[in-house]
Amino acid sequence: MEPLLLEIENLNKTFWIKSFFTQKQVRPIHALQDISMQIYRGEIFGLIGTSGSGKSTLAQCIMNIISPDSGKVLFYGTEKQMIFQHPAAVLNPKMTIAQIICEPMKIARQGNSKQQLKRAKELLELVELNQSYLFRYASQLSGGQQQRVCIARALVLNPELLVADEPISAQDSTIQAQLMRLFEKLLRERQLSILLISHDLTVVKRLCHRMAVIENGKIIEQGDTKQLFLAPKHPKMKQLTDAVLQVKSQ
Amino acid sequence: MCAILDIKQLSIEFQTQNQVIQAVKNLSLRLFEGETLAIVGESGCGKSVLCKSILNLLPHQHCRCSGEIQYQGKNLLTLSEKQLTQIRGKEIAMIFQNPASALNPTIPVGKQLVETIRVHQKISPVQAKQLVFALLEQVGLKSECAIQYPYEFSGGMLQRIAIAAALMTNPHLFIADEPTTALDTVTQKQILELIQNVKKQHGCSVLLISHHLGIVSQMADRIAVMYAGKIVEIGTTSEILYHACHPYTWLLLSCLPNVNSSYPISYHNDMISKGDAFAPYNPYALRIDFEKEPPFFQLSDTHYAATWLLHPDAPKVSSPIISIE
Repeated sequence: MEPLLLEIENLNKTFWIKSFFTQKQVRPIHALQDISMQIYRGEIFGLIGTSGSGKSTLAQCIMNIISPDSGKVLFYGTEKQMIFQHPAAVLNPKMTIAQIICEPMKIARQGNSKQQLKRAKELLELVELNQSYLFRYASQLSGGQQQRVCIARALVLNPELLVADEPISAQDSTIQAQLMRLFEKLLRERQLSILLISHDLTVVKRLCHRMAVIENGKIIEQGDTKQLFLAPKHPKMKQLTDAVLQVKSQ
Repeated sequence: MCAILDIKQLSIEFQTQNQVIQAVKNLSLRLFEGETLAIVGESGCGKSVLCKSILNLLPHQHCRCSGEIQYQGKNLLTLSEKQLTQIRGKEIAMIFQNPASALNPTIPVGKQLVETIRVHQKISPVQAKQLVFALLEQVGLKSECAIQYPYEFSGGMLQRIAIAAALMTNPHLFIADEPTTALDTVTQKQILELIQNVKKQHGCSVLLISHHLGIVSQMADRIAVMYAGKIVEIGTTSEILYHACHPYTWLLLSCLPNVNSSYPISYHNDMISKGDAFAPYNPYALRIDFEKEPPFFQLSDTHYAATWLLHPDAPKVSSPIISIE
């Protein structure tokens, strides 16, 4: 087995609903309860669950966007990056694509502006976008092209782990297929580890080596993707696999 | 079979600051009584514009419609606002992709539903309330939900309320514009089953808009594939899914995760062709595809496709779809 890249041990996170008038904590929402999982180098790990099950909270804990109440997130790499569901909400509408991709290199003080632009061109080529897009604005690109720019930006500092929070589900089926092929290519060429969060089981089945099912903040089943689809043990996993609507063979 | 909706030569243009955008081009379509017709295609191909034009919901100051939309002998494009109010919501109901935007956030949902019923039916508030409770139960919600505000519901519950609102007047035609795109798979299946039950109980026709072929394959009797404002292929569900003839339909099928295909998916939708709009991305395109728009070629009584590949003189091309797992 490949070396371990991310290890999560007994992670807990509770949000409190506060009273509008008194600001007192009224009701707890246990977003994550005793979550433990591992991601190895060079694998795509799928995290599935219904809306509100805690998928995005877990991703935010991994990225240190929010702090867990207890438990550990142990990362054995140097750089991790995240991509989100709605690329239009992430890309600055006043910046060109070149400026957007070069920005992390400027913050990390990597290379001069000529080297940064060269790197941006390389990354656009990697995500299969024409170099003419460098001087366009996000509003001039389609949803799939915007998501590719987000992926290029996320890859600019050579991360070992990419946390992708529903990167595909908001897109058309043609764009979904292109993004799936891009993820497969990144895995092949870059040996990148990807945590793929999705509620679309067909995408997870196609892309992920291993997966976990999360429900009400708890991991109810995890293991090899093929095994889980063939013989789901937990009733919720069975309910999820039964709910998959796909074109059947004739 | 009798057509409940007959769209003839419909064209819709939008005037922007710099250019005129033709969203729907010379589109003709029939929806028969009691059937579910699905319209599939990518974002921006004109599916939602077509739906909104049926209910005359497009902004008249920025758009120009020509052609006919015949509904029970009346052209919906020429009716007055007063006449349209009698049809809109009463005979033709519509549910939208984002139900939260269709409900007023400051009014309890029950009050909104009562208000909608009383616009179309002359009944007392007490009778209207009883009807609302019955409808909420029909869509799988408790009657206590009536006093709650929209923000207190999940996306799936809001979509159920939107369906209850659409059902109140027993519509003949039910338009569902991407009703499950924003929902997770379990909720998605529940909503689609609900629409199927509604269709069975009320015997209405359904116009389903979606870009998800998996959903469409389970719901529709016929499928129309739309690209760049035009219908490029139409047929029964099995004809489109298993005997497709248009390269764009092949592309849509090839994009499904469980389909093995030899079709090359390199597609950005930013090139324009004078003839067939799909020609720049079509690996089987002929020279004529770039010069002249293809007419519809008939493949069976129900199956038509607009591609020059079906011309008797065109080279024979077999479907790139190898298998569906």
